[in-house]
Amino acid sequence: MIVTGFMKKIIHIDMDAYFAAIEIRENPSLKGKCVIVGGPPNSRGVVSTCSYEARKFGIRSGMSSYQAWKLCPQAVFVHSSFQLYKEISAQIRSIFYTWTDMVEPVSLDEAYLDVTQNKGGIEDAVQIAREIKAEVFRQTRLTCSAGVSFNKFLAKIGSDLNKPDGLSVIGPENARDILFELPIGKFHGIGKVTAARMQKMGIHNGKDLHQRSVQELTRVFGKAGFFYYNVVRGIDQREVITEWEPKSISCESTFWDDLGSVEELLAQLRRLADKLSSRMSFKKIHGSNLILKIKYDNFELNTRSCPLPELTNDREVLYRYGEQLLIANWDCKRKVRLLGLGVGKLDCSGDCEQLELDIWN
Amino acid sequence: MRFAIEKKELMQSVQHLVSVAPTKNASPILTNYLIDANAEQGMVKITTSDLDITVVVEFAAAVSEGGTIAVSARHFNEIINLMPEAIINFWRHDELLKIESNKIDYNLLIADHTLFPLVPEVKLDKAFTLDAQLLSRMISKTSFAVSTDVNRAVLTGVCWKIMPNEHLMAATDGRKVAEIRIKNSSLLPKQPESDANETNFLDKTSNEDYLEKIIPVKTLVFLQKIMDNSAKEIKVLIESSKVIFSYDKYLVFSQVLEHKYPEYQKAFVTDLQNQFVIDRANLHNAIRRVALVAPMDNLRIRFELDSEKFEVNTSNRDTGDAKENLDEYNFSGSQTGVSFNYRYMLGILEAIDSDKVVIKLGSSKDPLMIYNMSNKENEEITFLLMPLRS
Repeated sequence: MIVTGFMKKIIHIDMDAYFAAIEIRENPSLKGKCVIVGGPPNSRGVVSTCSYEARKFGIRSGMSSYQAWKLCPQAVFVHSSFQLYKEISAQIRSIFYTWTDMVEPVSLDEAYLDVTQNKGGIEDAVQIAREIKAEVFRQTRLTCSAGVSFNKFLAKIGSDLNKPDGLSVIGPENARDILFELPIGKFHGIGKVTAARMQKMGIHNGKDLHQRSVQELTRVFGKAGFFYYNVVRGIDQREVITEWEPKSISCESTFWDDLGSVEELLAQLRRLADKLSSRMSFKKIHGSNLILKIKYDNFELNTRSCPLPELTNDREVLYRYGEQLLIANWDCKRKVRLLGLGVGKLDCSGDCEQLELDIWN
Repeated sequence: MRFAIEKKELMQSVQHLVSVAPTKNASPILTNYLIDANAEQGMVKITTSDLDITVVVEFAAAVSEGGTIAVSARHFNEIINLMPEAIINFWRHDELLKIESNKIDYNLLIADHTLFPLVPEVKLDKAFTLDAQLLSRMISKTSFAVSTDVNRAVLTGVCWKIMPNEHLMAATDGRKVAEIRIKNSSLLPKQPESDANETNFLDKTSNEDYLEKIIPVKTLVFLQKIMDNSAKEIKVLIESSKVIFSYDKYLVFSQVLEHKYPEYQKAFVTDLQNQFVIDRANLHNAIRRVALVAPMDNLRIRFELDSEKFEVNTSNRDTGDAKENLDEYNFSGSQTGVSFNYRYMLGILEAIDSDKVVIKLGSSKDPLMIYNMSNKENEEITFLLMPLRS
């Protein structure tokens, strides 16, 4: 296996039969039964998830409820309760965020985590995966499967290897064997249609795919050919795309000597406003709420905020409103140890809109 | 058909013509020149058209046999261009145009010239005459500001408004405006005094005391290319749906864009609080330097200035940031900052005539109004640039 360069540590977490597992948790009498979450069989509904017991009958997500009922007439159909699934998803994500902000939620029950740098400072991604699994179970009584690898593609393959409640590690040393044996239809990114075309070409597993040249693959599959050629070699450069957006952005400074005069404080405030403004404009962030933090010499912390007239990151506006806050809230008999200026209610869309002439009536 | 002409003379007549002929078109005949040789007059006429604009150029040549053919415009130009400086002979032989000079021979397949759209006869006695340099100047101050958005077709042209003692040209793409007014100039056409009822060009299409036509920018850019001082004046005939220009040996027919031009002047702001004056070239250079790292998507650059400091800056998540502090400027007003698309600003600064430029600005959402330090006599030039909200 040729893997060059810096190795990332990616975990893919996939909840086991997520919706069905939640329904069983909420109604323990369903335990051990074929539970199907989706529309009732006499409707035109489809199966959104089913328990592992139901899967033994060949029931799959996306199948029509009627078809599922025919395969397994004793199945219990339950309506989906999305609000609950969403809440539990948020709960699970907050567990991920205790480890890293580099979380890419794919759907309610699936996410990629980049733990190359993590908040626990733990080198071993497998240990992190283990702790995440345990914490998810402790908090939600739900199980998940984790795949740990050095890129997203392999992590995803990994989480699928030992379902349910599995944990698979695909490292550079075993990636080749796993990929070679993997049936072509199990490659993430190769759907039914592509899989059928590959079967026709005599590609049944990773090993067959590995033997094909990039020229042949791109000729047949276009741009996706490159992707197939690379992933079967364990190469996948895609980043974990986070939707993480900061809730506030701030600058603060602790002074060498505690400050006691308004001139000194305003001069510091000016510096903070300049720094904050340039950081915000660099990140293309605008905010509409200003936050001032004053820490006195006895470490007592005072935080005050006020709304800004508009979404802004203009240094002059930040300074002017900061000045008002400071003057109104500073207890001038006491010395200040730290001053902080921040902006909340952010708009991180970063768009910088071209204004147009208003001449069209 | 048979004629001969010096390469240099022919090239001079046809070099700009090829830009009119469409390269790909639903109507393949338009990729051809219509070449018409008249033995009696000793003149050759070449016509090219994309239906919106039709150009006829007529020049003298040694015509020994009259006739008409249609032949690929692109090939014709490329061949003439690479010919050595000598006399070139052209004649028709069956379905071929033979081009020969010294030891060089071409046989070009010809097209069916009867398919070529008819060019109407035109009488220019009702045309008015305009100083060619003045027209060229008006075009150069405005044409850069047109829109390329075909969904706003009206903005792809330049608005030409003719009033009794004033000519105005303006263009906008909704984000910037360029306007030039020429007043009471001796260069403007005078109302014909005799038979005012008939030949008054202002009274032809409406009862209003002005005439407004939106001319496609392609026409104006073409006119600019051919107005090379070979003639001082250009004749203009305005009809309801087209404009005809006659300059030197060229006759240019252009459709006008039918629609009302938006009232862009409503966007002009006269009471902006802040103003600065700076050397045009210095500002232009500073913007170009800072722009090297500006974001590719919105081309955003920012001015931050007060009477002490004038900073041009940009920041880009992908590449980094840049700033340049400018000195030697005069500022009045209070501290302000504004972001804008630098390419629009450069276009405007390039249209500024004076060494110094005057820029008026308000808050970060107000438009920037940009002027020459001093205008030419009888002239008024106004530019407006809408900022980027940031």
